[in-house]
Amino acid sequence: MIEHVENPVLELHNLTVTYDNKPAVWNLDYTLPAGKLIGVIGPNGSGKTTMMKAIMGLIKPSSGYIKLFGRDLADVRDKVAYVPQRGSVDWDFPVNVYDTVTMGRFNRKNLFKRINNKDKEIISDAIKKVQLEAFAKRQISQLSGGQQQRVFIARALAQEADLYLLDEPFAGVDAATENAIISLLKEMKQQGKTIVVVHHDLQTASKYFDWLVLINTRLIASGKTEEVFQKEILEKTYGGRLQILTQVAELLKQQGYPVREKKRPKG
Amino acid sequence: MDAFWIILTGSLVASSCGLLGCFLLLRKMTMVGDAISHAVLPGIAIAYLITDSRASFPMLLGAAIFGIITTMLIEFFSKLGKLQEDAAIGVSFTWLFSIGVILISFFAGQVDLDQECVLYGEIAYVPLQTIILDNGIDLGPEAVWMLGFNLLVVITVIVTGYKGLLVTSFDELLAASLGISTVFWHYLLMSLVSLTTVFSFESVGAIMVVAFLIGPPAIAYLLTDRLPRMLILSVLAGILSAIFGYFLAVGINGSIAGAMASVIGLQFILALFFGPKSGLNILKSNLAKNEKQKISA
Amino acid sequence: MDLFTDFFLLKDPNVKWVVIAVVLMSSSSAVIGCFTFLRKRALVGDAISHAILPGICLSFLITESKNPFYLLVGAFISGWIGLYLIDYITRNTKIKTDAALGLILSVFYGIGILLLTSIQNSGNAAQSGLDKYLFGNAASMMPSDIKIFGVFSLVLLLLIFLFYDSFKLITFDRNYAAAKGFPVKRLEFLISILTVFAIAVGIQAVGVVLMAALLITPAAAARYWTNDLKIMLILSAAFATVAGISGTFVSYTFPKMPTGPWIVMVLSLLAIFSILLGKRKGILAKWQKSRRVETKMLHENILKCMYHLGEVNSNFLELWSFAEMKDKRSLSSKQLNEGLKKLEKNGLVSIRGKAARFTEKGLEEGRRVTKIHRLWEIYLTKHMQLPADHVHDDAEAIEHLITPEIEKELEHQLEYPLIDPHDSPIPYNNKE
Ligand SMILES: Nc1ncnc2c1ncn2[C@@H]1O[C@H](COP(=O)(O)OP(=O)(O)OP(=O)(O)O)[C@@H](O)[C@H]1O
Ligand SMILES: [Mg+2]
Repeated sequence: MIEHVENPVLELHNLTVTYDNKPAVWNLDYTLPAGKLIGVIGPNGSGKTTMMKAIMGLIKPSSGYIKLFGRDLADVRDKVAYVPQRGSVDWDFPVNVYDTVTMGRFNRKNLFKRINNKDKEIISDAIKKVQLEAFAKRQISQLSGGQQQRVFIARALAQEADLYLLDEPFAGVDAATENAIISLLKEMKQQGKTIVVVHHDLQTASKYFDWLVLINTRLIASGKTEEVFQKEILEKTYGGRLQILTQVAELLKQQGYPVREKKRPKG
Repeated sequence: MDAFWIILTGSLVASSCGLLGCFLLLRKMTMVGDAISHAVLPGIAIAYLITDSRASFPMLLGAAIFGIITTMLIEFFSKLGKLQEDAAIGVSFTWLFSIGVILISFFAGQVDLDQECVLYGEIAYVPLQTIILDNGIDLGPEAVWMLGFNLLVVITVIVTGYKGLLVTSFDELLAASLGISTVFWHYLLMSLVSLTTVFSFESVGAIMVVAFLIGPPAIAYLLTDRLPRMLILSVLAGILSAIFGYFLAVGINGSIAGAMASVIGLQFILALFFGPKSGLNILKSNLAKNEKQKISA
Repeated sequence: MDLFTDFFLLKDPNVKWVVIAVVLMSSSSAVIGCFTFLRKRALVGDAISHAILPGICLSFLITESKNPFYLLVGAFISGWIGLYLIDYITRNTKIKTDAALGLILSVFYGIGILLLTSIQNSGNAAQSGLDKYLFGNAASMMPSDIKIFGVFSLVLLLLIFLFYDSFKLITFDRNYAAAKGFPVKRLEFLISILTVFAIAVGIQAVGVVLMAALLITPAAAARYWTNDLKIMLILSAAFATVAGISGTFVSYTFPKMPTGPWIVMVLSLLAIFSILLGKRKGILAKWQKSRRVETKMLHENILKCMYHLGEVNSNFLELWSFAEMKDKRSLSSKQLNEGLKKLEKNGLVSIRGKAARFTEKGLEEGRRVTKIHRLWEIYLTKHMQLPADHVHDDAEAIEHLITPEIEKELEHQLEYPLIDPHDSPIPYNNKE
């Protein structure tokens, strides 16, 4: 069940990413609509993070390509913000909340310039939106998990992007914070932003998201929540790996086969 | 006067190392710094052999070449050979270091570079090599000028490149997603470390540089949780160890560089047990918490 | 040359004992090093070897003698303190392992150097030779030292032998070992003790500065030849032996030369040799494998191309010119020539001048590859939700990989389909 859209914000075309020749995501091929809150759902190790990283150009795909707003990432970098999994940084790093959010304003052009007043305004705004004003001066390891997650979101807000990619923003977060974050995301959606969220909890998925992408190494479904949130599709998503696919992936790794031949044959 | 020059030399080494070391520590790359400081030895040795002098340009070149060879060798072992990272580092730098020592032992007597210098430097001789202008004006020790220049370069890069170093050290994924080249900042930092290692080599030897690279930043890291303060404290800790180290060495008639490293160790112990957020204080606050719990219970 | 024969025929009884001791010392370090290596704690060994220096100096200062037994005790204690501090710092502060290692390594080394130089400058007559601990000098070991170190190394090897099974288990599957009720903590403690001990002994030969290499390099080299821990231990001991003997020979020949750097030099060359040629995952082995893969792909692509040509008129045994083949599929002349030649040799095609035709065997092979390609395309549309025009590229690669078992499974799961997503027929064998 794959629903394609016109003028997609994000388009994945046959995206395959491998580690050590073994595909972590395999032939993902879907398009996402603008101005929606979109959930990416799949079991542990199903390649959600890998996919997000590939979209942000942080890992090179083995094959396929990605278009954002119909263009290459390099052309639209300013319009995309990425929130990595919380565990991907060292929270003991000697920076406070304000410093961390400030990094959202860095880019290639202003790297050697000082932060200006407009930036400062945006940063304070972002901190206010996630209700961390009281903690602005606090070192980031002295925050709760939920607060840390909000720091990351504030940093993304400071980027003032049109497309937001969030990797598991609700992991290790209490219910109250989760609600606060989700209403913030909904507010952003009202302003016409597109938000893609990697999410774990099936219970809440159908409540939160307008659109769902279900993956388990391969794409299972992509479409409006009410259409794809069905027992059969969910079972397929969580029903373990396909045996043949797993075998072939293992062979790819063992034999050192490329997932694509070097030269593109005519056909 | 000698004491002054020696302490100044030590402070200059400690400051450059202390500043760069903060970033190495935060990037969890201190062992790479360790590897580079060992691995530039053959470069230094070859430069000595060819030019038979301590002229700094060939030495820099030699060391730069071997700095690059080290990173390539580590890459070769870990990427092509699929050797685990820590072992790749270990194999590479011990090999290069052994080549350096062999070269030096082989040509011992022919050049003015010996095992002692490699092992603990010759900071005591620094005041002897001064720059004297044609008109007889004594500008002070050559090493001080070289290390001063090095410190200037390090400070300039850190001040102008602060944002780049900060964001690539804290969150590589964010940096890359913002289009900031993590590779560029990585290599910039590594080049500065190589440069500093080479300039410091004569004064403190190849191994003790590591104490200056890691020690003061580790002390500062225990004392503060803001990066700018950490940089400053690291420099201060380095300078303190240069001063007290000198007098300790004179006191027991031992290696000055060794004494400076020992004082770094002592400062670390002090920071560990009496610092604001560690050791005894944690113990105290834990005790206080327990008390509270008892009361509330 | 005389020196050479003298040395290797072990004419000098002293040399004989030195060689035996060095071999025992290096191989015991190399063997325990395999465990450090596999437990990903290679650089801990580096830190401990540096941390040993102050212990040696202090025990000299206290006992005023160079009795190797006291020095060993001192070395062991300070190595142990270093190890404990690394652990303490990483546990109780926000400082991470790498920095804790580097800090202990360099500060202990600094303290050692301070003490060493202070002892040297004090003019104590007995001190001469303490600096041998920095770069090692095996050839100048006293007969009494040799005995002690030889015996200690033997004990080490014996202990490793006795605990081999438990060590193996906690190295490869710590959790399982814990679940099975092994005293994991205590065994790890024992490995640490043995490591510190091996280092304290080994620095006689290599010196504190390069001791890490004796732990890491032989293990790393051995890993390229085998997956079997037992063989790995033996190989790594063998590498260390070769290096140990070479190093001793050099310092026997040139008394000024320290032993350590030469041992490390030989070890490193052995490691590079292993990385290039090792048969487990050496670079040459990997390169050969990828060459084989490329050849296989080329062959199968040519066969498939001929099969496609034959499909047009259902005339599979026709003679196809090279030009026709190149028309059907982008292959360079060189690829085509070489590929076909090899295929002819294997009896799959027969070449007539600038053209070729299938043999029966070749036709069967071409049919098989075509069939797998099309089955995989169906599989992709069904299970990866890919539109029909996106499946071809993937199948181009995977078709070369599918084993007969997977082929069977595919047919079965897809329920023996007749046409692929592009409406081309699935060519089953007549027998099927
Ligand atoms: N750097 C890597 N090297 C090798 N394999 C990797 C690497 N990163 C991820 N993998 C593998 O790729 C697969 C997908 O991982 P990924 O992190 O993308 O999954 P995920 O869906 O984000 O899982 P989770 O829900 O646990 O975050 C996993 O099997 C994982 O083991
Ligand atoms: Mg993930």
